[in-house]
Amino acid sequence: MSPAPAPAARSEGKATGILGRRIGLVPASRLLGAAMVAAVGVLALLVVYAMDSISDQALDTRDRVLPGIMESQRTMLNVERLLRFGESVALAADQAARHDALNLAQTLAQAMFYEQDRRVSDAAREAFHTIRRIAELRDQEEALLAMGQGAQALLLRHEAARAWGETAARIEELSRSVSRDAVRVTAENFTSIAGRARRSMLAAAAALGCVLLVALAAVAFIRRHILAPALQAAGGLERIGRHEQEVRLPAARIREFDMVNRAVERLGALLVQNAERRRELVAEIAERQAVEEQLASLNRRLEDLVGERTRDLEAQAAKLQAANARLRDLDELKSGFLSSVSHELRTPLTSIFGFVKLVARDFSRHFVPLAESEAQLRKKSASIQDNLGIVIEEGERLTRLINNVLDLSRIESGRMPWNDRRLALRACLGQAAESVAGRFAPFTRTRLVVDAPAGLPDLHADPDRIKQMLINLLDNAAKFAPGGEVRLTASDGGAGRARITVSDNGPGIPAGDLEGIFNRFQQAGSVEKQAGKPTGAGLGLAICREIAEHYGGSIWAESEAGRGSSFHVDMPGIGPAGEEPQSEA
Amino acid sequence: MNAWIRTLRGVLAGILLLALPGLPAHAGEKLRVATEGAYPPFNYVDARGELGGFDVDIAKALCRAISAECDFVAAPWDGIIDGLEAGKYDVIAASMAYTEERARRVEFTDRYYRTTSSFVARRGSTLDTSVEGMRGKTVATQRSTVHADYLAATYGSSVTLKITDTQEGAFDLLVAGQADAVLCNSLTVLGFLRSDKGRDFAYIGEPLTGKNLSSSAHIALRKGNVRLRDAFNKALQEIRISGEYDQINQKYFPFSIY
Repeated sequence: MSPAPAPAARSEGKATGILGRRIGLVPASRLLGAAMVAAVGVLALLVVYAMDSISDQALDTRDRVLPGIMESQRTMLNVERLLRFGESVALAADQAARHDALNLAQTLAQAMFYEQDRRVSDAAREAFHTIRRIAELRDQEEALLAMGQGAQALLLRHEAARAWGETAARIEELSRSVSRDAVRVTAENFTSIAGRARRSMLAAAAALGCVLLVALAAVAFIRRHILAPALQAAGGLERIGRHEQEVRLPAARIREFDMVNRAVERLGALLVQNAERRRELVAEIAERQAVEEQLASLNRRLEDLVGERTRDLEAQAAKLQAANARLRDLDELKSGFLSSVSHELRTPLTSIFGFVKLVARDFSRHFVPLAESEAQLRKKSASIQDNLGIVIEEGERLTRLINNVLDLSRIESGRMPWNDRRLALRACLGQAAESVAGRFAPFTRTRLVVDAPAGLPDLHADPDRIKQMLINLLDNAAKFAPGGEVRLTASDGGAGRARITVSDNGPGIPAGDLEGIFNRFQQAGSVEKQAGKPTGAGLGLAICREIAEHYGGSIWAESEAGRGSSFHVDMPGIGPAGEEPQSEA
Repeated sequence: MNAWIRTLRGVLAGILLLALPGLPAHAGEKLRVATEGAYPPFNYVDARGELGGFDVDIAKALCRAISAECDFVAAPWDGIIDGLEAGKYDVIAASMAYTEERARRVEFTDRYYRTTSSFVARRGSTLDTSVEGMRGKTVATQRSTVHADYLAATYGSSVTLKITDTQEGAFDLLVAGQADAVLCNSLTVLGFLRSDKGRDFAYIGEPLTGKNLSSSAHIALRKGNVRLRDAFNKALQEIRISGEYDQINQKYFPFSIY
């Protein structure tokens, strides 16, 4: 019979409110499971212990109490029988019955020699002899009676009865005592058994109490740390779902539930944010829509506007076209006008010029010799010659100007007939130099040097125009470098181009005027003032540029004030005979 | 799921196996029970020629208790153990008293009754059963009994021992006057005294208990048959508790002889 197992400390290892740690759901459930298993194990042990205890007590009853009871029952039976047999011996009249009872009594008494209770076995031993003596007395009594000695027989009878009474009383008393003892022993046995049973029950109750505590603790744990958080989370979710508001949930002891709670809170916050965003988006959309409306209406207006504009533009274009046409007409007119005017101008001018020359000639031929003798006439004739000379000069100048204007006009309007031919540079230069020979030595103090080496590309151009260009340049050089040197050179401009340079060592051109001199009606003002008289109309260089550019070339000036000027013309040339001429498009 | 069912079956089988000891271990076992058949009221041959008596009834009850089939055979008392050893029968239920010598050859169950041994002589005999008193007297008893051994050991050659094959034979000698006394167990003596033959006879001297003579009767089994011995012991307890023993007891004796 084992004692009740000591209830172990069942709360070990569980995260209760006492411990401040946060535990995970899996470890917590494992702990709970272990606690449950332990509780079930304790219960099972309890049950086994209870069964064992019951079986122990049953065995106890069987092995200790039952034999005692059976033994005492047996003893009681035998005692009762002994008394009966003894009584028969003492009282029975029939000898045969007495002898039978004697035999039985003596045999029974012998059986009772084995009684555990020493008193009983001693009493049985005594009874064995006493009953025999009683039987002998009775036999003697019977014999005396048979012999007629009744009184003595009676004595013997009394003796026998008395002896038996004593014996019987003793045996009865003994048996009662034994019975009481038996009852007491049995009661003691049962009491001890009951005591053990009560102790077992207490132990079982204690263990059961512990198991209940464990169960309660587990339930409390589950309620507080599993159910409560779960319900809170559920409630939170519901609130969030219904009102789209933020929720605050308390911290949970179990990690997973805490995570859930935090997640629910975040969800609430997110939903609130979402709602905000939604509202913002809605407002934005409304704005956008308004803007789109505006754009749409603007678009429509734009279309109208564009339509208007287009119509305006078209009208303007039409107008412009009309204007253009008019302009062209005007240009035509102008050109025509210019041509006819210059033509008209030229005709009287030619007359004037011609006739003035005639007059001058005639005067000098016929009248100047006559005035030789008279000093005053001489002076006057000289002065008249000078004046005629001036008129001729001015006439020439006017002619040149008109020619230039006409030429320029014709070039600009595209009416200039360009009779392009292959020209040899050397020949061009030579012809140009011949044309202006009168401006240079030996007629003036200005020298002209012509340098046209061989092997230069030819030009494909109108010889008149080239000559005109060169003559203009040479004229300018002569004009602006009186008494100096003018060089007319041709060189290879590279890449099949020809370079013609007219340079002088005159006063030069200020840097600021280098570009502007090619414009119309512009002259190097300062130089002119120095010279004292305007000699050109400012169109020469413009015409040179027109010509150069017509053939895809360029013209520019290089100069330093006080160190002379160089005018360069760069034009595309053509190779030896047989190659394609390079002319402008 | 299948693993579960298998485990469950295994557990159930285990539990059943554990419970097996509770099942009758000797169910259907066939046992041959030998008894003398000449030792009333314990064993005798009844009017129909069948063996009967206290021993036989007790043996039958025990066999029923262990659910074994028992057949009864009569065997002479002298050499009854030899027959057991030779395998002629499996059980001896013949009021065999426990001696150490016998215990070396057989397995004894617990006792199934107890008795003293007593001298019987003619009524009124003044025979003194001490060694001195018995000098020269003739005492009869059955062969191969503890009584024979006791007489030989205690009285040696001072008494004339008449050994008979059966106990009845010893009583006959007494009745015939060829013996002065008979030494026998008191329960058998009771039967003799209550019979016609024993009318004139009575106990003499002091009864002899187990201190002097082995006095408890046991059932004997072949040496080594502890399984059957334990089964019989358990069965003996059962029939005592159930009251069957008392029933059988009352049938033969008006008092408990356990």
